[in-house]
Amino acid sequence: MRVGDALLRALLRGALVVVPRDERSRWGEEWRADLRDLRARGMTLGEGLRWVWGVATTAAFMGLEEVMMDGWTREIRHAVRGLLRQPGFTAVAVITLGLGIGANSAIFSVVNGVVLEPLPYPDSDEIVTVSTAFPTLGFETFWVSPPEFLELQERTRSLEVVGGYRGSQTSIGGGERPERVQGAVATAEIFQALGVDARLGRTIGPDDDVPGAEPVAVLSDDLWRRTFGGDPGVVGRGIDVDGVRTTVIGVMPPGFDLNDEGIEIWQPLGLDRAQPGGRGSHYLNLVGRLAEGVSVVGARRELTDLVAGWQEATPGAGHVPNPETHPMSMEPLHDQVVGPVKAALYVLLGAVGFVLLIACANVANLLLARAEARQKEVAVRVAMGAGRGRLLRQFLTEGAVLGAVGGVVGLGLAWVGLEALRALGPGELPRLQEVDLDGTVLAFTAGIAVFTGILFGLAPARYLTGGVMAGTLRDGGQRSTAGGSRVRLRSLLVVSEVALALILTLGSGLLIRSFSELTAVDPGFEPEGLLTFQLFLPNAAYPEAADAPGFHERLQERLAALPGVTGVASMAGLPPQRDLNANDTEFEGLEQREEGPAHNVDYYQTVHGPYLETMGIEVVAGRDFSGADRADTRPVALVNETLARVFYGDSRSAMGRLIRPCCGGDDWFEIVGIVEDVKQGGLDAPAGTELYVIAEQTAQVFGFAPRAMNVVLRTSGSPESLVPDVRRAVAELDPALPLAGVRTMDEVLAGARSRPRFLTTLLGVFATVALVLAAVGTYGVMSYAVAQRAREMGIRMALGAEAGTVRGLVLRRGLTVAVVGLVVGLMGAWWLTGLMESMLFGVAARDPVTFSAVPLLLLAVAVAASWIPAHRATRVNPVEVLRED
Amino acid sequence: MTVRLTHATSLILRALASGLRHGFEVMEVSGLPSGTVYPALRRLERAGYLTSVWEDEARAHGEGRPRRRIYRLTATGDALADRAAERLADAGRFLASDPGLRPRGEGGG
Repeated sequence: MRVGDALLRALLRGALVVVPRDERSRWGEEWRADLRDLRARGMTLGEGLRWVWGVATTAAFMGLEEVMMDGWTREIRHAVRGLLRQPGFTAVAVITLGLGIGANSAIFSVVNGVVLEPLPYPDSDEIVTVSTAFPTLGFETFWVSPPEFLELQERTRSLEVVGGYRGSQTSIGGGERPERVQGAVATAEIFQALGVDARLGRTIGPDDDVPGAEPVAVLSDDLWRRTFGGDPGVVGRGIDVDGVRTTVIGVMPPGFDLNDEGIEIWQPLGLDRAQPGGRGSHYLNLVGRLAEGVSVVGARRELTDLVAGWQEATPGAGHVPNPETHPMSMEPLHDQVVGPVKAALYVLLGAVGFVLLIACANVANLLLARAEARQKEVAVRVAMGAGRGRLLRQFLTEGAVLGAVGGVVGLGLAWVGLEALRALGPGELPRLQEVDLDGTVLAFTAGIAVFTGILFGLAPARYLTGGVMAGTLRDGGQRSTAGGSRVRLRSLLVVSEVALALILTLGSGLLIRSFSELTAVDPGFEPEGLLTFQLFLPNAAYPEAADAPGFHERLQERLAALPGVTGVASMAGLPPQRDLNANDTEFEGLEQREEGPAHNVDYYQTVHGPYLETMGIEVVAGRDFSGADRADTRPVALVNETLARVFYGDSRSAMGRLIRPCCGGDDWFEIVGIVEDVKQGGLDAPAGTELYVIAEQTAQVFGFAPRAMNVVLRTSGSPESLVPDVRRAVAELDPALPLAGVRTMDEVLAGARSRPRFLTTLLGVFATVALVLAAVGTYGVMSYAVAQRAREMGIRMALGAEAGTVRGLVLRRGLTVAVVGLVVGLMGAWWLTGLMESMLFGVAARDPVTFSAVPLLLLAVAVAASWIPAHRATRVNPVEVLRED
Repeated sequence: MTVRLTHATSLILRALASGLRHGFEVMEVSGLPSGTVYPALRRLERAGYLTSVWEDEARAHGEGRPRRRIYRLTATGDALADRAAERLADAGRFLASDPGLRPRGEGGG
């Protein structure tokens, strides 16, 4: 019974806390008396608990009623008035918060749209991609060959459907001007796997996808609107695709794409299932949909088993998938699309999180300073009987109002920032068109704003504790020399600001270093003054193998005659970002050894005209191709230094050796020259092995010359100004030929560096913001510390202290705070920059240069931020300070 | 401030009109929970139907217990208590009758 009474009384006391102050004692006393009487009349503990619960809800309603009646609206008006009275403070706080919240909302929008949102297909988490690998050749992700695709299709039970496709550049006529677009040839299953139907007409069906079927095409919504004016009548009409009359059978819904490739026209692959082609010819991307109830893990397990038994299931076939040299792997389509940028986006999200934390620390500092300035007022109000709850509520309201206004400003900034991101990075981020400020982002922003608001509201609340209050009244407010604990708290905030800013600036510094390394990479040719564009010669108009070299010869004659052009050539692959060829190649006199290099060449480069000279590629040994190398002369080849080194040991030994490129011919090509390496697989990757042949000779030997060639012109003036002349020259030869990708080579190189530049720019912006905010924070705290100690400084000056001594005193203090922050930041960065390893090029994650230069930079900023307050300290007038007492 | 004459409020008014004076007595007699009685008492008092005072401290001390709050109806409170009585009587008649034969009662108030 005793224990029950004590429990009930304790609960009752707890409930009383929320009763408004002016009614608390009355109801407290009444309830205690009632409880006692009820217990005396035999109320059980259970009933007692119910009774207390009723009392507690009553109390809660009383508290709430008061708040609703006279609380928040007045409080908010009060807070707004107070904030408007100090426009400088308010503007700084709101802008600081707006920056933090805006940057977070913008980057979170991108992360949300790109990484978190599912892909825009029904049940998109069931869609997977399948690829192969040749680990012994160093290819971790490789395409699938048609026989492998068909066998997988037949054997898998985990995939409900699996289809294959490959990207292709496609010329479309019939519109106003011939156009070159990204297309794909795909099997009918691709559309089933993606689960998306045409918005008009139909998608590719099994009957379209057989050899010899009527040529048909499905258009993207964008292409349909752009080239065919959004005319629904286009379905069923014939258009000119790569010179072939092709019937449009459907139009896909807006935004439909695959793997972010920007595919605008879909055509059937038309695989001959009876004779699917060579096992070694890997060119398909596979996309499948998991069968009902099968997980990715389960499907992967099945794939592993299939690979292990592939040879057994395919007797007699060579070159089949196997676990050691040719495994297959499966990953969700989402990972494939998003994977390359995920890490970078999370780094950015972390970075803006830091910016927000720094912004919060700064605003908390501002509010603390404000609360301190009003400390005496607050202490007096408490002493006069103002409820602590009321004051706490006032602080919270001020913080919330700031947070809300900051949130609105931040939302505006986020919108602007997002537009900028869209403009800056169309090629850098997948799915960028799907990114938007949607409900999730709004909720995220509102969450941040409320959170920060509450955080600041609570910052000054510590001044409400009794001890501080009494001290304040005693020592007469802000002229006190005993504000030590307050300075400590604020110094702590600055320490964390400096630490966070250091981490950000270090990360940004590493990226800048790595970007400059990337810019300094020698692509292997001279990009200045080069103009390039792509031409595709359709089969229909140029049926013979020799037609293409013939066309390029005529074109080069015309282009070379243009004023300002000093050289013209054509090449099949445009450096520095080509897809890998990885063609099997025979080397005369070289045994394929188990441990030796596989007889396979990374890049074939078919050229026409004075290629090396035009591009500015050096011949290291031997000779260049010459006009004397014709279709009917002995086939010759050039190789790069890497190929010579890998297969022959050095350049000299490679000279004169015979080599047989893949696919069809019996003739050996003699290596007549060695050229310097050209970056083909990206500026940040090793050059790889490369083999050069001339188009006329491949046409002769293989009966094949590449139809898509990149023309390159070296100009003495500005390359851009030549574009109209070039277009005219091409049109004079064949008005139906579209020019694609007309760019200067500098632009091509910039494109190859655009993703790192995107990341570097953004992180640089955030680091700068962080640095400025940290400087503002340091300045604020040092100013405050000086104001606190003005009296002490005055006395020192009056007693004859040198200005330098006083200034040193303040500076030392500022530096101490900064150094502590730097040490903490360095420890954090040491760990965090390790996460950036994969984004860096040519610089270590703990690069000593960056790790020593950046802290010095921050130290300099801290000195600068402390200098003004230090200088002010020497200007304290002792007479005035002492008179104020 | 107006007070809605709910069934619970009516019961509380009748309890006070019949001479009960404390919150806990009202609760005991009416069987209403504390979460209903205390807010109702507060509303009625704020609207001027009740006044309340502390009982004599010396007397409570003499009996070795905390002093109690005594509630008393005001003149307007008496009038309201009469209306409450009518309302309760209506309800009683309604409950006693055969529900199938009567249209739904107004309930008064």
